[in-house]
Amino acid sequence: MPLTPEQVREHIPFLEKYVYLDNGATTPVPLPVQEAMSAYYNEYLANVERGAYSVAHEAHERFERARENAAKLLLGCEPGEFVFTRNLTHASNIVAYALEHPLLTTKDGTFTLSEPLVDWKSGGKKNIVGTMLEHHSNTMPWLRLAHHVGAEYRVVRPSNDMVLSPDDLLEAVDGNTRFVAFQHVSNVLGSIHPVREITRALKEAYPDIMVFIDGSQGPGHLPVDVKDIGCDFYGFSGHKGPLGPQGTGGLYIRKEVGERMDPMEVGGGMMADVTLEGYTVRTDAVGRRFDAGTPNIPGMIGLGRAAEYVAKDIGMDRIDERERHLAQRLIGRIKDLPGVKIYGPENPEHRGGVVTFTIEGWLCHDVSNALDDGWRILTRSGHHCCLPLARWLGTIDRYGGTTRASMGYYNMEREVDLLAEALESLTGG
Amino acid sequence: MTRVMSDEEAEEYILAMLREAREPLLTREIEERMHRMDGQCPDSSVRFLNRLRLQGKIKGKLSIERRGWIWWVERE
Ligand SMILES: Cc1ncc(COP(=O)(O)O)c(C=O)c1O
Repeated sequence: MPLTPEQVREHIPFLEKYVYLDNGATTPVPLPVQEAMSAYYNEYLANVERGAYSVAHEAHERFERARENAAKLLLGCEPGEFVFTRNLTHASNIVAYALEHPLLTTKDGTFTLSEPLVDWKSGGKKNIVGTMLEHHSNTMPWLRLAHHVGAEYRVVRPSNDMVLSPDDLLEAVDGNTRFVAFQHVSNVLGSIHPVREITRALKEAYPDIMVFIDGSQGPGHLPVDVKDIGCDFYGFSGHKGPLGPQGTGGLYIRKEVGERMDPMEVGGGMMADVTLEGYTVRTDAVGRRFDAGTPNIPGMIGLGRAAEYVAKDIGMDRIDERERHLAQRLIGRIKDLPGVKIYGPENPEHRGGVVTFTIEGWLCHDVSNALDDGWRILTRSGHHCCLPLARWLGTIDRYGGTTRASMGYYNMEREVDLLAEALESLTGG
Repeated sequence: MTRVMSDEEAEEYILAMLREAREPLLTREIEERMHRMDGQCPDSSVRFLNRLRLQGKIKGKLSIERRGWIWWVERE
């Protein structure tokens, strides 16, 4: 039987004290995930891929099992294509680095630069395409990359209902586009974009374009199958939807691309051989090429258990359905309150569990502070690390940004109703 | 571009501002005054003000009539 929201709440004691509606920022870590992590500390603590003794073997096995769980259950990819990261930001930076730096490794005894992943130089000026909706972590790495490689950075705006469409993207790309980065789910608007259709349309029109998807708000909120999407890269945060520990995340890299990528960090664990003239990077598994140094072993073991928790113990479809339901319930209750404006898709099919709003005359931070102080309701306020979007929406000057309630599977209808009542008191509605 | 003040500088500035004010100030008013001198709290203003409130250095409460939080210092 799948875990009910009430059962999940028993695994998250923190929820007894607060109405936690800031799941878009980070999520609580349920007790079974914490237990998997403490088992590492208490029962089989050792470094991975280093020692030959039995406990080291067990630690290594469990670490790799965690990678397999996270890869298969959260993204639908093979463990060899899965890189453990600290967060989504780490994932996008790994990709940006490799797009700028050709792979350096020893070939035929000589330390050699390989063919670059992208040829930025020959032909006309190249371009990178992003969108207006992106988090800073899915904008800044590409702005810097574009600057360093002399490419243009183009920005797509959604033409309808704050949801990106294949046509929106197709309008921006051309034969000189080399890389496109866009989100799966907006942390501000709650928009769920048709990433499969967009990726396929882009690849069909220009097969050489590489596609990065920011899935920070994806896995753990809804089912994700990167193979079906057809992207080259898909990054996510382990500490959000998947209910993994803070400081964890992951990156899917399509195998053929990964084999040609230069790792951002070099050192122990990711090399096949080192001499004083040069080194050879690992080629046995793409994922491990990016594990330089001792990884966050307990964190990753936690992420592996968290993947099982959301995908098997609860079920991604159930989570998706419930978060959408809670968001729609809140929208229904607050949309007509005086001065309240809700941002994001009107069509409920295109909106996940995020409800972002402003109240006329109020600073968003004052609203959030009032909700905490008066009702113990925890929400996020501000630009949500999406300054270009906040400026485009015009919320920064007027309200200091927006206030956001973001749902988890374990949130209750009564909590959403309490938020609605609190907003009624604030607005006099 | 506005300058982000250090914690000490922002605290001193806010305390002086609240001491001089004749009535409690809204978050927005504090922000505007800081912007006028090209300054910005190290944190978002509300977070910073709230921190000062929880440390007992200033008082603050919600004012529904004025549509926001109001902040003041107790007079000796
Ligand atoms: C859409 C989106 N992208 C990127 C990020 C950054 O994620 P992380 O903090 O895991 O690096 C976030 C975090 O809020 C996000 O919501």
